[in-house]
Amino acid sequence: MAKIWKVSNISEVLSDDELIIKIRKGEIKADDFITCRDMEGWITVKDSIYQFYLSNDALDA
Amino acid sequence: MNYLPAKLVKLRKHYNFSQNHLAKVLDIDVLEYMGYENGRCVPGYNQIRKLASFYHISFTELFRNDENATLFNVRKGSTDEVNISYFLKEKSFFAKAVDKIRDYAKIHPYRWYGFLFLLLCVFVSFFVLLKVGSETLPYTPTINDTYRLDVSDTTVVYIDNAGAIRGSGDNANGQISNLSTSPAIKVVEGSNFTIALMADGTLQSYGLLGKYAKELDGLSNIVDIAAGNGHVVAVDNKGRPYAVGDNSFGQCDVSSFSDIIRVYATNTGSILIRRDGKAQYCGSFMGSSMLKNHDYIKGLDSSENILALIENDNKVYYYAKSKVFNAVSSWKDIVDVACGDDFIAALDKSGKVYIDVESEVIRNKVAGWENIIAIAAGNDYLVAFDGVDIYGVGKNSYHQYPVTEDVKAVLPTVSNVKVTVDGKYLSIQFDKVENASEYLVSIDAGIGYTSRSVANIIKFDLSNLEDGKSYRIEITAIGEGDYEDSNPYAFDYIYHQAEENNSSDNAPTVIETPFTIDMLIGKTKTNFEAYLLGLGVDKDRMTGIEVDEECSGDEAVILEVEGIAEFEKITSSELKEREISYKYCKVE
Repeated sequence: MAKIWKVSNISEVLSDDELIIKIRKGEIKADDFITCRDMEGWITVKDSIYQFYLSNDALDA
Repeated sequence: MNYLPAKLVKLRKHYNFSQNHLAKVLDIDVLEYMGYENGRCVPGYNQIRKLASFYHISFTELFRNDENATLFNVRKGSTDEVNISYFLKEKSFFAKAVDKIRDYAKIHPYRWYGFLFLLLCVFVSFFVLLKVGSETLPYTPTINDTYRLDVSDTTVVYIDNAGAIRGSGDNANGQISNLSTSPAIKVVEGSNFTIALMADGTLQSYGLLGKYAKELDGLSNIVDIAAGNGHVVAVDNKGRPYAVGDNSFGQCDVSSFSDIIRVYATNTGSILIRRDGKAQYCGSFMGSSMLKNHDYIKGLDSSENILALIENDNKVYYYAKSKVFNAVSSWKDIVDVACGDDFIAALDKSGKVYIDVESEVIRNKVAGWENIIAIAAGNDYLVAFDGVDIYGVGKNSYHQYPVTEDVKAVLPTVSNVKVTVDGKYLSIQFDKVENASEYLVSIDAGIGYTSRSVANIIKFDLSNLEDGKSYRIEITAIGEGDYEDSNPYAFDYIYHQAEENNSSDNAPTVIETPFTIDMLIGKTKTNFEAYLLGLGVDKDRMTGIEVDEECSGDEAVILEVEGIAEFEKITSSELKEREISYKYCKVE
């Protein structure tokens, strides 16, 4: 799996699966910014469709 | 809230695709795709890329959790199996341009609004101009120096270098009273009115126009005018002609004409030149039927007996009753034409005036005019204008033009004539005439003897004379310089072959030839007196009276004459019997 995702508070580049796992675990929070080569700029997790993977607690936070 | 399911449904249904088709595109099971649309699951990175590519939207737009989704126009009758790119390839140039503009507007909104504002200004200006143009064409009258002068039989009007209108001559109907000082570009004269075309395209009228004055004052954007004796013709910048006044000959029936660029008028007719150069007319006048033979008429004048016009070749063509004007065909580069009852005159571009007329005196006078910019003619006079002064020849009964040149004195007729037979010759002797350069004697002896001599005696060979036959003999004193030829002294002589019968008892039977008195009113006092004395009037029979009227110039001018009349036909002996009184103005 290609490493495509950058996260604002994580130095390493993540694959799609790694990103989703970290979002589910709460290691990447709702207000963290993510981006990839296909995107035009950064976007917070909670503003993306990957907010689907945030826990209810994370969304409410 | 998860907006992706609704976004995916919106996109799919817009293009009328089935879920099966999308599943095939994504290379997944249809149940998995259905899970995207009902929110059970979320596509991963690769699926999002495929979906974004399929719908021709950006990855970001699909990845962002909102309702926004760019939808493209599709053709009617599309099916599930057709890829969106098929429609996108068929997008028109205009549609793509709109996309580009839309993208540009998103990136640079202020520049886009500025461009829209500029576009709006351009459109507004265009429609304003279109509206203005449809109602009023630019007002562009022709500026022509030849328009600055016109005359009737009694009045002269002209426009000076400041554009003010001036007049002289008859003013019985106020036709030259209170003339405008505002810039005028053309002036025309009827029999008792004056019309001026002003620089702003309106008309001003003076004199006896009655109810027509108001109608004329209401016209605007007029580019040309003309006047006959009793009517006025005008045309506006849309080529529409107007005519008011006397319509006895149908000269005002111009309403059916259109696309007119120039107008002319005769006393009883109107001539209208179309944009294509053709001449149309209404009314009745000399030469009207010949107008169809002339295109692009650039100048025209008429009298009762003559119609003269300038064609596009800048030459004069004319139609005249029972008269031929041989000199006219040689005139070139003509810019103005004028005709009276028995003459045609023309002005060339160098300012020189030509005239075809019987009188050599008039021809010589006209030849001396220089830098003329306009000419005009009444029935019996011609005037010329150099922008400052008016010059004239011919009748001046109403003081239409100033008299500035000295008039030559006329030599008196010969007197004390004696005819004798001197051997083989017939000798004719008479008293010398002072200031005569020579004498001209003619005998109508079959072959027409004519002889000139500087001496006051002339001899003729008798061999051609028949005994007992009567011969008409005429003797004229020839003048030069300041003196004009005398009137001829004419008599009948009966030749008798026997010498004794040719003595002085055979006194000649004198037949006096009447001559025409010249114009008198307007002559300077000096020239007037010299003229009458030259005709043989006794000085004691001439009485001059100075009146209180102030002279406009430096010399006293004759105002009134009693005892003889201008242009009266009279013999010398009759004239010598007249008591002549005359009044002249006072020089201050």
